[in-house]
Amino acid sequence: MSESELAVIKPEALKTYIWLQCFDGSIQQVEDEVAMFCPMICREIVKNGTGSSKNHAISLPERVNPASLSLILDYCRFHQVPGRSNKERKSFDEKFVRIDTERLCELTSAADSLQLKPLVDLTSRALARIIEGKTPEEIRDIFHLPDDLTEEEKLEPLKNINDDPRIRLLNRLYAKKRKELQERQKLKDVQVQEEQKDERSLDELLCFINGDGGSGGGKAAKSKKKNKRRKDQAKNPPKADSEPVNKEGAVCVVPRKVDNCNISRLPCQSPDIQDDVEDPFEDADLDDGLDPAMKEELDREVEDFARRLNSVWPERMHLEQDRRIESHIGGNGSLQRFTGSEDGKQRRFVDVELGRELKTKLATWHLSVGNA
Amino acid sequence: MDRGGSQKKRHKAVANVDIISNLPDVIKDKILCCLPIKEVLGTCLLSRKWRYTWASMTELTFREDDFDLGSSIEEGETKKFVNFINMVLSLHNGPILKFELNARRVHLLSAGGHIHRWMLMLSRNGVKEIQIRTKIWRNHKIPSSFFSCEELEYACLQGCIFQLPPLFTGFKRIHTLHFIDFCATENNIGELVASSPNLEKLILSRLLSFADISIHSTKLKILRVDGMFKHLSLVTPHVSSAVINLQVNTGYVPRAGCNFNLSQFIGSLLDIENISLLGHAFECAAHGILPGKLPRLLNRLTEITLEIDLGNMKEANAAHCLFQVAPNLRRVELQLIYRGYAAPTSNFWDSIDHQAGLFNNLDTVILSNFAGSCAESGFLKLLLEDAPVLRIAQIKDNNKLDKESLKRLLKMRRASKDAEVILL
Repeated sequence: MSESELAVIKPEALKTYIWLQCFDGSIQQVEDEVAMFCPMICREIVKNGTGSSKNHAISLPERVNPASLSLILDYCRFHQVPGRSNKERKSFDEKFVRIDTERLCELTSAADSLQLKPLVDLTSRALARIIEGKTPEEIRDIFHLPDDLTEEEKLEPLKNINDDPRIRLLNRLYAKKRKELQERQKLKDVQVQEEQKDERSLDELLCFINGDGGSGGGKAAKSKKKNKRRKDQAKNPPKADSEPVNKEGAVCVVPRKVDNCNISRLPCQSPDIQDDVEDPFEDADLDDGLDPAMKEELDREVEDFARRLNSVWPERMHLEQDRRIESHIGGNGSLQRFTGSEDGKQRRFVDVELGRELKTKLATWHLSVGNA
Repeated sequence: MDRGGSQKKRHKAVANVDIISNLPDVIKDKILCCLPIKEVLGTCLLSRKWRYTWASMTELTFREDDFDLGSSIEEGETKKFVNFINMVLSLHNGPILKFELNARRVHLLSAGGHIHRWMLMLSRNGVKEIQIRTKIWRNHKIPSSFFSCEELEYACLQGCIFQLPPLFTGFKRIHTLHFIDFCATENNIGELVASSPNLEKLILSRLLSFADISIHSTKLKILRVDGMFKHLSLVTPHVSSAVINLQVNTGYVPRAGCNFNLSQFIGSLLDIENISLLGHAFECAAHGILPGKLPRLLNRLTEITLEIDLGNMKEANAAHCLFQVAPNLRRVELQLIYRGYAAPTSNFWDSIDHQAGLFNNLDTVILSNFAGSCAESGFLKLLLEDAPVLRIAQIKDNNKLDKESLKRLLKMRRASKDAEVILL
């Protein structure tokens, strides 16, 4: 409120105190020039003539609790005095907002409901300063925000920015695979088989379906691993006699593993699964027990899924549906060949294309959008 | 206070309640607007309630400097910045009231660049404030969709050129126009001002004009023009604060061709409160004002700042004219220079009638670059003898003043008892 307005009101009102009532019923008396500093109170007095007595106290909005009110009155009491220097006002403001965050929020809300704009600006800025430079976790702690977004959701909005998140994911996968490869070379595992190669892509497929969402990463990593796998095979020629065992084992183990780990959705789960799957003796005698008609149906579904895998991101967001398919995939070995050959070309393309930009993009990624 | 106690208890009871999310949307918007935009986007990870809160924020500020792009000015380096803006704008939901773009690389703003798409989007979103700044001095053309931002209230544009579209109906709401590094080849500024009926503040910083600019506005209250010019004509009767700082760069515009119609400008003023004429503004115009030619008293005029060669008869005369029509003058600041004209008029100020009461209300006078020449001493003598309520006379001499002049200066009779002469 401007001073001229004050000057106009004062002589005719001729009161020194204004009665204010909070939503909880508590009533208090305030010097009128202090109370009138709030536009909402001022309007009440001028328009409705309330506030002159205890029985006609001005009822304040719900958002103004007694604690906030007393802070607001402190603020008004200081700032309604004319002739204070800007420096004085600034240092008062600075000290004024040094209160705990919760009260600051309440104060902001109360000031807003009293239309006290300078105080709203001050407190909003103070809240912004609290948020600035903090990680989401820190902000959640400070304001008691629930961490109610899933990992997928946390990645999702960033997907739309550009390729960056996928590249980050891809990089993570690459690192994992590289490590894995090194370990495997040390072991000089002799049991690597043709079917296992396919099984591995299935395995990753499952992992992807399980929800990591970073399809580009998933795809590219898969093909990378396939390449490595080929190298391995060159070194270790497949043993024909162990083939059937492996085939059975691979096909049957997967669903069990999926059941165990389908809660966690990150691609980093894949090496674990794989290690288990590679054990050729585990559950080797299990049979999928599916009849041919059902297999045919599954093949169709899998084909559909593979197509979706190659399509753009938004179309792949039907996770529920995908998960349903995933359980079928686990039970059927025939789909592996399909997905393996279908995406081969495209995956390699993605590999080259993304791999080149990977390093530079990754380095700047963290700066570019929050701390996802 | 017992209430305080119970309050505290209540606070403890609700200690873990998320209160910031339940603040009114306007406040959340205000908080977000105080944060750097990258942090604003980071809030989508906080919680479900905050997921898309950022997408409806009303003020978007993009600073290329916030993106660590290295020092290269290659086009490819900007890609990330561009992608970011594209992403934010494509996901944004609701009105964008303010758009600020601070681009280091001007190609971002080049013809057919991204700015065209962004501007079109802004024009459809009721944008009220647009700021486009760039660090490189190169002209870029403002997208024509800028002129269809009907709600525009504030615009600050750097390094741009523009052409008014043929069917431009004017910015009805604009109150502030700020052009930085503006290169004028025609009077499009004048046309723009003429079609902005509510424009109150016009700032032309570092203007480079090859054209005849003429600005006529009855609404304008604040006017700032600085830069090089060819021909400038201002008719702005209701301006209360004016700063005209004109430079003549003979490399661009021949000195003789420069023309600023100061007498027309001052003649048009009604409500002027403070006026600064710097650079060559006073020199170019001085011959235009003749004693007795100014039509009316400027009763509100309290502050005059001039860059002036007091030894030049025409300039001295023009300054005298100005002082004459400003009976309530309280503050005079003269930045003294020597423009290199021959024949200093030593006795101009001595010849002024002391009874005229030229400086009746003068409170402060500041003379900078005081060299102690006859003309300058003469002016100071007149002023000290003629200003009854003078409190401060500040003289910055840049160490050029010799002892003799100093003695003369201190000996000068002062009409005001409170007058304090401060030598800096």
